[in-house]
Amino acid sequence: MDVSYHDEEILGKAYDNRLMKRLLTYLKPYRRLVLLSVAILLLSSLTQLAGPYLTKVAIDKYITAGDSKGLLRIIFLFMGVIALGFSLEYIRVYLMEYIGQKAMYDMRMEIFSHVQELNLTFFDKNPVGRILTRITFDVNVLNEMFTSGVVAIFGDIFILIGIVVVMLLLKWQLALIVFSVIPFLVIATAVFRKKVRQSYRDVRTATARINAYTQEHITGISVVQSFTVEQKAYSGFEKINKNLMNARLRSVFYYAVFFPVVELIGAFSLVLIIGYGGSKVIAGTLTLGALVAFIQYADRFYRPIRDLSEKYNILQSAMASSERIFKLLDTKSDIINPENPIPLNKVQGKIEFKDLYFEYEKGNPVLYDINLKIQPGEKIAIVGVTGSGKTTLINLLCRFYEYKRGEILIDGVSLKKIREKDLRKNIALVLQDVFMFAGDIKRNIRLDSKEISLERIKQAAFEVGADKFIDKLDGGLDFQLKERGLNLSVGQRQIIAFARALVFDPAILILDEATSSVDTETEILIQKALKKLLAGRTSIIIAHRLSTIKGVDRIVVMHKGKIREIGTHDELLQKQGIYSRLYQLQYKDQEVTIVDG
Amino acid sequence: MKKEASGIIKSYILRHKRAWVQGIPAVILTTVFTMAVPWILRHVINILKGDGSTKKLILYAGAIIAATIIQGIFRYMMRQTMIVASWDIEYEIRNDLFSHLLKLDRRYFDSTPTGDIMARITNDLESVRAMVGPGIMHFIFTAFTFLTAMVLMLVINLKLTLIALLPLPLITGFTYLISKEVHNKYSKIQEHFSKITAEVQENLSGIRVIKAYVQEGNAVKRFGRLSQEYIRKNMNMIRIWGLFFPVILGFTGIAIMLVLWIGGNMVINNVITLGDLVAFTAYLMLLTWPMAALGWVIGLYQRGMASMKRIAQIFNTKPVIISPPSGGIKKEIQGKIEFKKLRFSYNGNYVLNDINLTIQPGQTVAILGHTGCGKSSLISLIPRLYQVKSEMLYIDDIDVNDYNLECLRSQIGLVAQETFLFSRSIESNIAFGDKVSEGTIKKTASIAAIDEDIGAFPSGYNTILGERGITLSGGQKQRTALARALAIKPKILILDDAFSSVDTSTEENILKNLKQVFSKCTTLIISHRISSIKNSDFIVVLKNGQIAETGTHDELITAGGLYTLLYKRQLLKQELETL
Repeated sequence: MDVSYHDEEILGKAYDNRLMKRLLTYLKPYRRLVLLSVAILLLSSLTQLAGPYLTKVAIDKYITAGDSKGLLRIIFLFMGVIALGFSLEYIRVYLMEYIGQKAMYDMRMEIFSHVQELNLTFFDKNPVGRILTRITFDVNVLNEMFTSGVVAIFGDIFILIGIVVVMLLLKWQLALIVFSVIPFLVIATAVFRKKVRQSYRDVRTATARINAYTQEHITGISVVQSFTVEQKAYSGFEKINKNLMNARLRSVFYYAVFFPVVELIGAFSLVLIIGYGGSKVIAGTLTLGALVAFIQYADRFYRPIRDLSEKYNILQSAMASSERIFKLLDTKSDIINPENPIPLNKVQGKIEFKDLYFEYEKGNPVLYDINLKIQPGEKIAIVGVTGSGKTTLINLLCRFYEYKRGEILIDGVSLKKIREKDLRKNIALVLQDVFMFAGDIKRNIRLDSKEISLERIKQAAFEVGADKFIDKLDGGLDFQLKERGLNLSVGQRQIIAFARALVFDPAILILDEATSSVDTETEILIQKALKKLLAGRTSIIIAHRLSTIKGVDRIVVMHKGKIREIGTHDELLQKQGIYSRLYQLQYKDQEVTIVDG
Repeated sequence: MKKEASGIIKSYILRHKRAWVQGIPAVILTTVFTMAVPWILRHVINILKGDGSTKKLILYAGAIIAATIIQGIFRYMMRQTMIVASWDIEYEIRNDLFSHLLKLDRRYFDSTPTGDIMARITNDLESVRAMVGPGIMHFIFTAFTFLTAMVLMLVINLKLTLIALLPLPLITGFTYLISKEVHNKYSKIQEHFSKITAEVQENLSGIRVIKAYVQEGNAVKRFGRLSQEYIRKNMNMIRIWGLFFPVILGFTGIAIMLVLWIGGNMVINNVITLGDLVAFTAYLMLLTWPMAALGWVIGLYQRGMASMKRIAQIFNTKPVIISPPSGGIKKEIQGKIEFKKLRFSYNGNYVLNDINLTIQPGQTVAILGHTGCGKSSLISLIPRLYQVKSEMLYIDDIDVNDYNLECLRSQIGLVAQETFLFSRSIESNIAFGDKVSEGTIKKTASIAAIDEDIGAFPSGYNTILGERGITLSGGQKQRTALARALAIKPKILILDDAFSSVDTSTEENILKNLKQVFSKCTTLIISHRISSIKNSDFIVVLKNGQIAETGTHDELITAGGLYTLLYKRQLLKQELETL
């Protein structure tokens, strides 16, 4: 898997309003649940605040007064609050995680569905690893933010507000004095955040760099070893590694300073409580229990601030991930489906190329002046050397790429006026390198079209002669394929692909014949299967087999992006042109059918 | 010799003795001074309840500040020693891992996916670091917090201590159980996540088939089912993990409640003072989080050791291709290459058989044959990219296995079939080998006919290649790789289909240049183009791992064998080009 580590170097802001707004739209369907969980969060925060207050009441009313029975009452109340707090907190965590999971599910499905609709230009430009990272890794980073980060910040803020209110209610003068340390706390946190942000960025950049370096050197290990530059490669690595460590150590330093500073500010507020509050207790204007409650509240006050730094990192990664996800979601397919498509049911199979011209990159045309009419049921072989434009031609016919000049017509209707999917339902494509999916043979024949019955699969397998080897496999049609179907032979995979095409039974067949040689027995099997497959269908075959070119109605010779010759095998041979040379180069050896390595 | 994972990690830990010698006392002192604050608080409350001396109150306030400052200094030291040491250890292990990887054989990399190695050098290393740093630190911190708090609480009252501490081990046990269960569930989630990854990867790789058979909708359905299952598995974990904080809060609450109830009655009955009670509750609150952390630390240890084992596997993989124990022969190579009854197999099946061939210094030899005939295997044996048995391959009449590996490889320039350039400047790509001067870079670039292309880039030789720079065309890549190989002034030059994307006339020019400048260099060329090998001193045709024909172009044409056949094809191809 070629995950690109370079991408991960892109770092956005820690908080981006535009991104956050768009992220929050994913919570919209769960509005009610979100409201409910926020309400529960509020209640749960209240129960956390109740503890110190109950302690105060216990001390002032009962312990100092010597009321043992009253104390027991408070204890029962305490127990009730604990039980309530426990349940609320559990429900809250569960609910928020549930919402997060649902939202992430929606997002993941949206990305996946979106990617399915993009055309091949996109897949050519983006390696599999990169798209994969968006759907899997980046969504998970967001999930972490939804469940732990953002919502927990709300909780912390509620608790902070709650503490402030209770303290003010208990003794507002003392509360204000305690709050006098808050500015220091704010400054300390702001300085810390700024410093840590920089070192966090450095860490991210250095990590991305070291991963990219490592991956590159593992991939290119042969070059490193054959040039005997292991030492040089190592010192390069050590340098980046040192950078990473230094960035780490800087952030360790900031943490090492920040925590004691917060503790110290906490100690000052404690001293203020003891000094001012203590003198009020002596003067008799403050109860001892209230003083104790104040001490406990002040302690709670600092806990959320300590957590803040960690949440900050989560938020920052989440922003970077969402930026990348949204960029993918905003990528549009090159192929625009028509607004008022002409419905296309069972086609006749007449195909026409008119003055077709195509380029993948500007100024680099790969097809010119393609003019070709194919009658329903006609069988056409396309031949040519590598790079002559054969594959591009069939890619355009399948509408994997958008053509800008010229026209392709099916039964007289322009491809641009037909919905992409309607078109493809009428075409079966069998590629040179047969792609097999994980799962059993059944799945590889009908794919995921469950409406195709087992009988039809069996029938198709029988018709292409696949039943002969399938029956011998362990489990028959239920035989499990390994990754890419590597536990089947190349020839067997070919024949299964034929069965696949047959089961979908379209009017048009496009076949890119495999070049790899197979044993004679399989060769005969393939030829028989092919005959079955071609019967009654308009067929376009990029031919590599002599038997194929001899069996078609017309051969189209492509050379350097143009159609240069059209005719039957014998006609073309007589011309002594491109075809006759191609024939000698690629097909003549097959006359003797000696397969050499 | 295989090393145990625990042994390896121990040796790294012991290298940082100073950090632990300073760090452990710092941890202990941090806990002691943290615990001092509630103790002072206890006296404060007692004063307030008793005579109410303001003087003493100020004294105690000062004591709290002092204790916090001292505690803060030690807390700072604790992080600056132990956490720093853990990053140092990570740095060292990463260096050693990378350095070890550089020594491993091609075979290892052929059979190990890059992703797997990357996972070990990133994720696993991180778990090991978490075990060594925060793991050890929190463990010691917790142990001493518990000890100090218990002693102080015991001083206040035995009975109350026992009652108060009752729920605490439950917290540890509980966190441990939860983290174990969570870990299990988490592994299941990870497994499922791999399934999703595999599904998406398959989908993306097979996108043509999906689109051709209009399976997009079904693919979304399949993916949806997997994602649903992923939610279910996640919620399964949350059901357990969600208990974590509520239970800790609950247990703490119960402990405080018990203390308040029983302690409150003790205050009423004058067994303890109100200050004692307040100090008690304060200690309880100080203990909660460390006790929970202990359960977490146990999890860190388990994961860390599992990861260390995976890292140890890399360390325990030893290269086969190394210099002889004595260090091997170091000499300047003249360039004579001799294969004597050479056989070679990757895994049992011989891909080369009975190869007998002598190449004299300075000769240019072309190797020809169908795909899979063993050409690339043959030439990869010369720089010992794969291990060949003794007495089969000689360079300057010395067995290739007797050379010092570095000395041997540094005199062989290899341009491989698949061009691999590094994402850095063109200049440093050409100067990839050791000791390459600036003059050499320009000179070799011109021999490889890439100098004009480089000149056309805005930043010239400083142009960065790769993802963050520009992408070269196939031909440009190949010519850059050739310049890179020439820059080390090789005594033996191996060109493995190195011009496949370079046009014929450029290729001929390059070969002409080579002949002039590198006339003394033994050159082996694998090519499909007859035009570029026609002029070599002799041509070797391989078939199914054996030498089928050898001779000069004219000799082989006269012989009319496989070479003639390939030659005719080549002529046809050239004819087609011109049509």
